[in-house]
Amino acid sequence: MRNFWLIARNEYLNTVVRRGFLILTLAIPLGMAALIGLSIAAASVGENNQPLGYVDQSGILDPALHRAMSDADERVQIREFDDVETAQAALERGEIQAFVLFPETYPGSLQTELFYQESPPDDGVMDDMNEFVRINLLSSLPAGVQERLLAGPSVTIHDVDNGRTFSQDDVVQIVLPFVATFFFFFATMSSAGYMLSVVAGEKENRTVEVMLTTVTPGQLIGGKTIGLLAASLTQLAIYVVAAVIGLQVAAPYVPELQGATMPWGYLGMMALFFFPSYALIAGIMVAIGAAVTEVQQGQQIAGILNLLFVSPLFLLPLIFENPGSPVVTAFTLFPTTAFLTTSLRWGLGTVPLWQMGLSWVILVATALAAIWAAARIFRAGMLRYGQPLSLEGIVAAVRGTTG
Amino acid sequence: MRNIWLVIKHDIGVTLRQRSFWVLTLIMPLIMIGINAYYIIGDGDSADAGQSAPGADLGALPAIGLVDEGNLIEALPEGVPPDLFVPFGDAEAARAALKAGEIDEYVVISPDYVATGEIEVYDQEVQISLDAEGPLAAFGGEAGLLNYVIGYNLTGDPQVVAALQNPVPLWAAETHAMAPAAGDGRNEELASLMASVVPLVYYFLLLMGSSYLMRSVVAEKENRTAEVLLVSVETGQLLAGKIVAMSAVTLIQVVVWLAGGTFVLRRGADLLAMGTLDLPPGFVVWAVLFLIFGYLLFASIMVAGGALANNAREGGQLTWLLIIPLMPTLMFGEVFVQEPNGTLSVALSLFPFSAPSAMVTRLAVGSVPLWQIVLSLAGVAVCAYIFLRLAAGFFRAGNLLSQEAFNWRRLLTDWQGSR
Repeated sequence: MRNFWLIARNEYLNTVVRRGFLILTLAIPLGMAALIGLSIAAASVGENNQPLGYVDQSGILDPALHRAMSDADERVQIREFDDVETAQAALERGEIQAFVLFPETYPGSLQTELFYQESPPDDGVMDDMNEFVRINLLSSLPAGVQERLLAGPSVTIHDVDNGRTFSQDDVVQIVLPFVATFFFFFATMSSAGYMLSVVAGEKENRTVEVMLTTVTPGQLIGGKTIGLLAASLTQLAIYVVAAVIGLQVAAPYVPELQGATMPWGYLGMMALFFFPSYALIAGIMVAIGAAVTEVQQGQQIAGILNLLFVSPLFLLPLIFENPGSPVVTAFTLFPTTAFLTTSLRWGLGTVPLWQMGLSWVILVATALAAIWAAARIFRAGMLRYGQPLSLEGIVAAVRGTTG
Repeated sequence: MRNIWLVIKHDIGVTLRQRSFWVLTLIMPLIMIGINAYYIIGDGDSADAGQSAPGADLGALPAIGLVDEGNLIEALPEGVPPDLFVPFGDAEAARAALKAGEIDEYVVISPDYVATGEIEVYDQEVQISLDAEGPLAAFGGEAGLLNYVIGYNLTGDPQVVAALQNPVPLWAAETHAMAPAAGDGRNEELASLMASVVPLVYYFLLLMGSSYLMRSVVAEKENRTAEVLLVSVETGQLLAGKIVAMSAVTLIQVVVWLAGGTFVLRRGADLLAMGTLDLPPGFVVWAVLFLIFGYLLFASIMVAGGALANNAREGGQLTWLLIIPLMPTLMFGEVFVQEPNGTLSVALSLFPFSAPSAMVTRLAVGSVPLWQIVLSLAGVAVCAYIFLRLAAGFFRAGNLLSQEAFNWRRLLTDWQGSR
């Protein structure tokens, strides 16, 4: 056991006590924050704040009610025109960006006409027009009813089976799993990548020959796995601390964050799936590293196999639209995609207990099988130089027959 | 020249013999296009479905338990089945019915709903879908339906309530473009598909091609082949040979993807009735030019990094730095369709590191002023020249034979020495 922990400690320190580790760990969230900031800045700079016009043939719209809109000064100005020709002239002169014609039949018929120059107004501008029309539609009702109909209900969904709640007002509970998934994924895959480099690299430079005179293959691989797992957990701890600090700083300015609570259920679920997933990836990377003769070869093979793990990210739109679909369910049960898919689904609803249970059992069984097979492949391939293990050789190694 | 040709032949052969190269070249684009086409066609279908007025297609909904503590709901609007809502006196009775399987879910409207707006929905195996319009509809179609029913009872006017959901629905509006942009008759689905596919294609071409180059340099450093090579070949010849070799490999990928992509787009568009996408004149020429200069820019950075990196792990970290400028085009592809001349689209297509991907995407989905294309290409070309000069400075025997770990001080020293 002493050798095991020596190797684990050495691998952990080699990985973590490097400037590059901290830089790369912080670069990802900072890079994402920069990208989000860039898109927000670009969207706000690119906004067209020219007035929007309308021609009201239905007689229901009162231009004075524009002042009744919330944050009226920050909204697009809405101007009334007596007829289409006058509005068109203003549009051609560039005084307005677009105008809407409300026919006599409005609101019985919602068919309006929208006039613009090159492209229709963006969603934010049309939201201002929609808000203006709503205020007019409700102007004859009591103030309290108006406010309620404009604000809409505050819906909370309760899952009676597991007690989870989903609220429109609790943005963190919905957004957190998506953000956390990405960081878990990055930490796991970068550690797995290190594992491959370490195993294949030590084979390539023949360090392994020296090491195997002192330690057993199990101690070597086990120690490295634990050391890199600890490095991965260190990265995650940095992300969690950064997220908590970020939430504390932002909460006073963002109302939606003020009610945020630590999602213990989510963290528990992630821990349950993270460790066997990591073991599965580590086993695969060890097997690849032991089977190839050069790090580069291993990276090429690993690059293809990594697709098996990252494929849920390609399905994001499907997960958003229909988290209970058969395809998403299949991805929840398949061992390489179970971790990411379950994490992504968590924020969008309840993952049925039977799916989570079955998924976890399959994942653990596959991880154990991967580790067992990796140990056999490692024994067969680690001292084999000049020629990578063929597929037949790998199968023979796993079966325990000579290859 | 003979040495350069030998290096070219060797590197092309090594790369083309890699199975992963052919997997990425042949299979990955099919997967990406397939996934994106599925979403875009699926989005079109769901958008069509979403154009129905509130309350439509309610016969298919199972009965919903209703605990109306404020006695708000006295009547149901036309179109809502009278037996859709099953009234319960209190929440406990409704919960019992839910447990017994008599209802699938129930809602509780708070007695002070007008003041607080609180609605509690109780369900089993909750699923939130972000497909529907607006968060309310996303929180179960029942929540949106209930909002409609409550609105009907508070206003007493079904027309007002229907209009409140979406007062100016663009899907129902007759639009008039007074000065439509060129290519405005484009097929939106195809444009969206191109805005998803082109950034992916350029991501793979630029990153994969330059990654092969970097890995080749680092591998020869790690296994000390460089020591033998530099006995017979000058560093300049080695650098030129590698860049030309990887350019040829990238060109093979381009040909395969262009031929396959054109076939798939035309046949797929016919099969899926998506119409045809007319690319602007000169699109292929611009696309190739941006690819060439973009590749030279990325390749020169990767070569320089490979020369300085001590092993594949260190060199691989460089890849992340180059992924970041390509990410915005991948993430915001739809912005290029919605606002091809917007600030974000223009900024990304002028910034040299994102320009190859972004500008070609803009060209694929709409028209771009000629001066922007020329300025963007010039920016990429100038940056490619600068980084090629830097790469030539770093790509020397001292670095290729060094086992010293990468550090920024050495990078700075080498950079100053190469100027």
